[in-house]
Amino acid sequence: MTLATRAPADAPAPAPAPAAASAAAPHASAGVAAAVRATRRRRRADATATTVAAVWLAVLAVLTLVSIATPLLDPYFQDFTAAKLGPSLAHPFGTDGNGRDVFARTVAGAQNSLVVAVITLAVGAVGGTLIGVAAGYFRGALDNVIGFLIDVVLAVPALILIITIVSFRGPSIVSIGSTIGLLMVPAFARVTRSIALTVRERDYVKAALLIDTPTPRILVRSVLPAVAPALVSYAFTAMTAAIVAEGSLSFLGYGLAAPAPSWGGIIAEGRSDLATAPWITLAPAFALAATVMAITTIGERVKERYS
Amino acid sequence: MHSTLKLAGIGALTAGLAITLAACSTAEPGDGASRSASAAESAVAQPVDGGTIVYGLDRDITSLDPASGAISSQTVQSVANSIFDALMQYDENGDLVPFLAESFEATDDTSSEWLLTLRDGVTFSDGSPLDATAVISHITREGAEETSASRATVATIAAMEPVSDTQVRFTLVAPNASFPQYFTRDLGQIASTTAQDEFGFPLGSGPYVTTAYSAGTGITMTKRADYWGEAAHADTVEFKVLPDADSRYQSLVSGAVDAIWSEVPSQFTGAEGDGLVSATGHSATSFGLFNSHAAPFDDVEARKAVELAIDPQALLAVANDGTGAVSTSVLQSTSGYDITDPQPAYDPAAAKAIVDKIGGFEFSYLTDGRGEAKARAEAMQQMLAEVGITMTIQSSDMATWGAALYSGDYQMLDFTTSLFGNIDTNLSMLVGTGGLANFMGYSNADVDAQLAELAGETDHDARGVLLNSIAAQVWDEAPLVMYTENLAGVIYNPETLQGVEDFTNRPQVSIQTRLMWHAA
Repeated sequence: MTLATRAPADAPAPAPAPAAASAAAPHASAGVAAAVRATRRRRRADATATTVAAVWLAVLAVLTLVSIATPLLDPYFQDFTAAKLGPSLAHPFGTDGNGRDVFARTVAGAQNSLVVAVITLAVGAVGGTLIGVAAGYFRGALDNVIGFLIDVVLAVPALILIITIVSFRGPSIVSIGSTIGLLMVPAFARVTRSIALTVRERDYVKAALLIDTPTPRILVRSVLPAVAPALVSYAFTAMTAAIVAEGSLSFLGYGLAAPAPSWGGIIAEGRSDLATAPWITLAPAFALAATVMAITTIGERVKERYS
Repeated sequence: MHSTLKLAGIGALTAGLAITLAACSTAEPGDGASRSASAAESAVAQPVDGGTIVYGLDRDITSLDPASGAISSQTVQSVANSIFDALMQYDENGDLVPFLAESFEATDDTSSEWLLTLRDGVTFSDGSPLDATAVISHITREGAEETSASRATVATIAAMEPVSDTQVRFTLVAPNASFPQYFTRDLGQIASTTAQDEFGFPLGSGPYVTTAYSAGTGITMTKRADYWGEAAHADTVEFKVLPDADSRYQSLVSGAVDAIWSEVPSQFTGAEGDGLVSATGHSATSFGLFNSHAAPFDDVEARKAVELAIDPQALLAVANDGTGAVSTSVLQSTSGYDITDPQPAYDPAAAKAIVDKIGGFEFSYLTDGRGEAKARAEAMQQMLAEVGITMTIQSSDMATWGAALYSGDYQMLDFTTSLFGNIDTNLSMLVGTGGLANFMGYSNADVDAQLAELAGETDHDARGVLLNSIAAQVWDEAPLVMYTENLAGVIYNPETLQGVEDFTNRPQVSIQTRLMWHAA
């Protein structure tokens, strides 16, 4: 039945009349050529964007390592006689109101933002996968309860919830990262649950059940590999969301305790000087936007590769 | 989905750049210079009656009753002065002069008895007379209401009696040569105790009456036709509640408001570039309070080490953008007294020697979350680290900071106040045993004795000697450390608003809306 209905669709189109064919052929070949060129252009643009994104993240990583390993970029040293100096060779991105090098603080801010993003991913992906796979594979009452809890968490404004929790726990990289991560758990759980639901109906999983394969083994060998591609794809989106969330938190004054630098915090510090010393805000704002774009671009390529 | 994410990223990048470029474009020095020149030209223009002045407040006002304490602070005196007239005020030289009062003078040599004489023909906005009985009723209520900011002051009055319809005799519990200075704010802003407006707030004798009030949003006031003094210029004044300092300033730049209250240094330094003008005074002082009842600051040596390690000049540079002045004493630069006994000067070597003797220590520094306080704390952290003291910064919101201040739940706390502006009356509140603003719990019998002597001293020079002597004793025990005298005041657009007073030499910035006029 399936084959019968698909066959005509798959069959080559009937040959056109000779006169019409001679007229339409140049147009058809030109259209195909244009489509091919467009596809090539898009692929070249994608490749360029991916390369630029990768280079940006690599540069950021190298600068972060330099910041950690050497005293060349000290984000804390204040020169009280050099407050709000414009960009120069000594201070490529100028200095802030306390006479600190904005470039050094932006690089150190990257370190904090990325560490928060990694913690967020670890907490969100592990927690979300466990819960999502459990709900999707076992279904029944467990699925209903988890689904209800996920809906409850998603119904509460995330940023307000994060601010409340961080206020009680105190601002630190671990508390901020794990709190944002906890609120990422429902999103990861939804992604993994939907895949686990379909995987459990596959023949190879049913066959494994018939030969009494232990459930943990089925989950690890059959379900998790099926979940992984979607998990990795979503991880990039989650990472950008975590970076923006940490930036928002710091901008609102609930981020890392002073004087620890973070992108959102530096942007907030420079906000009142936007008219007189815009460079204080420029560097971290650019770094934040560029990093989010870079991760998103690479995430898209990864998603395409898996799909 | 891909496109959406990409667009979001591009949007974020573009927005970041656009904000910065916009900021760059507003900082054109040439533009600022030309607009300042036009402001100077229009400053000599003749007053224009009519129109509406829109003024941005830095906080919500929950009550318009002077006894509520909600309009007694310097930042909202623009509201209080619109409804109420103060008995006394400071002129442009910083001298205390009568306003609603005709005179306020001591009738004995010890300054224990005072005679207040009111102007004739003053009425509240319902037409009822503002007479001696009304003054006594107002002051009695200020002493009775729990929310009043002047309860302690009223307690120093032993008796009040009406001598005539326009005269009141005050007999004090103890001599007080600076008694009239208490009557520039809520205690002197006479409110009716018998009549209220439609919003439930007492009537005043001021140039405006409240016609609309919405907590959290704003207040609208309309000019009184039967005002006893020179009538106000603008027909209407609209006060808008704009708590966020940056939004408030941008509202002024965009023309949504004509003037704003500000205590943000970068706004004063950037105002000229935006074609705006500031009218400010050194009326907000920043200082640090030690909790002398808990480690490590129960040791006077620890307090002195911190005091000597902090460079107020550097704090002025980073927290105040170089505006204002370094605070060297409890006496402000505008106090009219010579400072002969300043706080010990910045001396990191001496601080290090103390730390070497008592050992390095750690403490937490509590700030109220304002940008200036944060910048100050971060600078102090580095200064203290250089002498071996570890300071962690605890940045909180205003409510948490206030709770800690009153409960004493802090080790060291960042405090900015206008109390130092009236040092004659407020020094006893700050360092006297049990003083209303003595949040350090400081107590010294010699200081208390000299404060009592100061209260009865009428000679200006002798008062200066006593004030410096008290300051010297305070420095010996270091319950506090002075930082800076900050600018505070109003920023306005001179193309739309004129008539803002000069506050340079006044101990407090008390905005008078009745003198302002709408130029556009």
